Amino acid sequence: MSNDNLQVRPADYVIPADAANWQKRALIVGVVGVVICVVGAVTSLEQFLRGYLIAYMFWTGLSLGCLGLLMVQYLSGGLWGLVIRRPMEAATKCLPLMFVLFLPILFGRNVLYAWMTNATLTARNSWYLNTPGWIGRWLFYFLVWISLAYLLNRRGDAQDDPPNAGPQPRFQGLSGVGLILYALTVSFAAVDWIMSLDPTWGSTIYGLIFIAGQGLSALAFNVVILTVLTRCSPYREIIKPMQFHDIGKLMLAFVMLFAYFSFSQWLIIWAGNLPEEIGWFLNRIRGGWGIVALVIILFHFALPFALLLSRERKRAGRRLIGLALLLMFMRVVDIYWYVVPNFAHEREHFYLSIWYIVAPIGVGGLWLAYFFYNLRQRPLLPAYEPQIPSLLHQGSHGH
Amino acid sequence: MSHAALAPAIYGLLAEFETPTELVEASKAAHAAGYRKIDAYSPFPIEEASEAIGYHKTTVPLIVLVGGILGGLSGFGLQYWINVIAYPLNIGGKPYNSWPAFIVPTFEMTILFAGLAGVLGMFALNGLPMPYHPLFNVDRFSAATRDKFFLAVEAADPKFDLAETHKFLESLQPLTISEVPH
Repeated sequence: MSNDNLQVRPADYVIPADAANWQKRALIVGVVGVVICVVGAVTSLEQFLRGYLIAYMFWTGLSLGCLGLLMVQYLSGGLWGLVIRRPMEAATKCLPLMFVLFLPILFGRNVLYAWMTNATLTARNSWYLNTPGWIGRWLFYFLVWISLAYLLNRRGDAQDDPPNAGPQPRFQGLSGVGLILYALTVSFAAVDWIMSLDPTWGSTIYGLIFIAGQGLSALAFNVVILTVLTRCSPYREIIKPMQFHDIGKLMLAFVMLFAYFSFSQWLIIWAGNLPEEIGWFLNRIRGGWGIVALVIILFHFALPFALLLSRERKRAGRRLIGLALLLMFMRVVDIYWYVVPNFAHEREHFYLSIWYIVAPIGVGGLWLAYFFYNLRQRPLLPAYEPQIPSLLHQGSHGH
Repeated sequence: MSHAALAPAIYGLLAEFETPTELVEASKAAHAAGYRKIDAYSPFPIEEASEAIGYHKTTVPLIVLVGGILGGLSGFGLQYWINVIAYPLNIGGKPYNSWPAFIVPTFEMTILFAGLAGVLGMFALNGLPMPYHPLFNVDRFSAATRDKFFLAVEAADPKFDLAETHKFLESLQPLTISEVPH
């Protein structure tokens, strides 16, 4: 097979000019959202902070999910990851932004977390749940995440240098260690930031549920980005149904993984039926919250699962994008269902504050604006990645 | 006349190609020429060849789906029958129909039945086990498992005519063309 037409350069994969517009629009949404959020912080600090925590967990989770998938792809290989590598790298570069955006939670911690001001709540576990430890761990998580994102992105940059500049950068070792650190830090962060809202309750699979959720929202986000990018050059010519098929299959796997972890948590607590554990679920089933639980079962699992079984649906971005947007929305709903019934007043009756909606949109605008800014800095494909020839020759026969 | 009498006596014609690219091109050409009972043989899977011979869909996914649903229903049904009807036991004060506890075996039965249905359905649709196939009467065909690529046009095709089809296959410039006896 001739290799004449494989002399590709990074310059061949310039991101579509439209991306500047997307960035501008996202920034407008973000700035308007932040201004409204400031109003919320002044007028109703409690509800605003809860909405902000939901928004923060979702958008940070998107960056972290991309960080995890990026490392998984470096370890496992596979053409599916090449076309979304730059978008995932751009998402990991949003982590410094999320570090700064933690400040409202840091300063509002006494309003948000009852145990910070009420020592009786942490009589048994204050060795872990104490304010200095909580702040120290926040700094440590971001030190790990930003370092991993920085190292992976720097090596990605090195790969874009002409191939004769030196040996290929090595990703596997970093990704192997990185994934272990990722799983541990995300688990502890989920405990610190969400589970500790109820400091007397514990679940050992909690962190894994958030890891599966992050992977799912990252895959769904990549489907959306890939579909949008495929409308323009150069992806219009490069992306084949195969890429969507692979990412669609992974999305189905993560839908099932999320359902499996969530069900495991439910099964064990339901079977034990212990007073100190079962209350967590009762708070999320009674008083109208059962409707939300049912919506999560139907639209976070049953419907996406049934639709993603279809081969044809997985092979076209325009047929996947609606489902991907639904899954991202359901991730927010799931986090909402985890966060809000922790609070005594809200658990009585189903409760939805305007700030639970405004905050995710506002933070999302900022995140997306920074994401597109990062994405525009570099070509869309890692041109000197050794697997690129097989990607470009996919669809032609032979091996 | 003599061709018409001869046609049913053979299984079809077999053209041999050197490369997968030629096989895909030949398959496309045969499909475009109106042949439908054609099949491509190669040492490894070539997705384009399946598409070229007009082989778009199989019913295996449907069989797997039906198998999975039957497995799930029978798994849940078995547990329901045992726990509610045949041998009800009060376990921890929970209702007899404690569905959360049934989900894991139901899931496993879904996977088991779907997997078995997939394998058995694939065998059935392929007509396996098949102890005899006319193509093995052609000695060169053994290369289909090594390094050669074959396109077979079956005599059962309405458009099949020994002389015409032979001429058509020649136009594709194969290495060899063989008549396949029954």
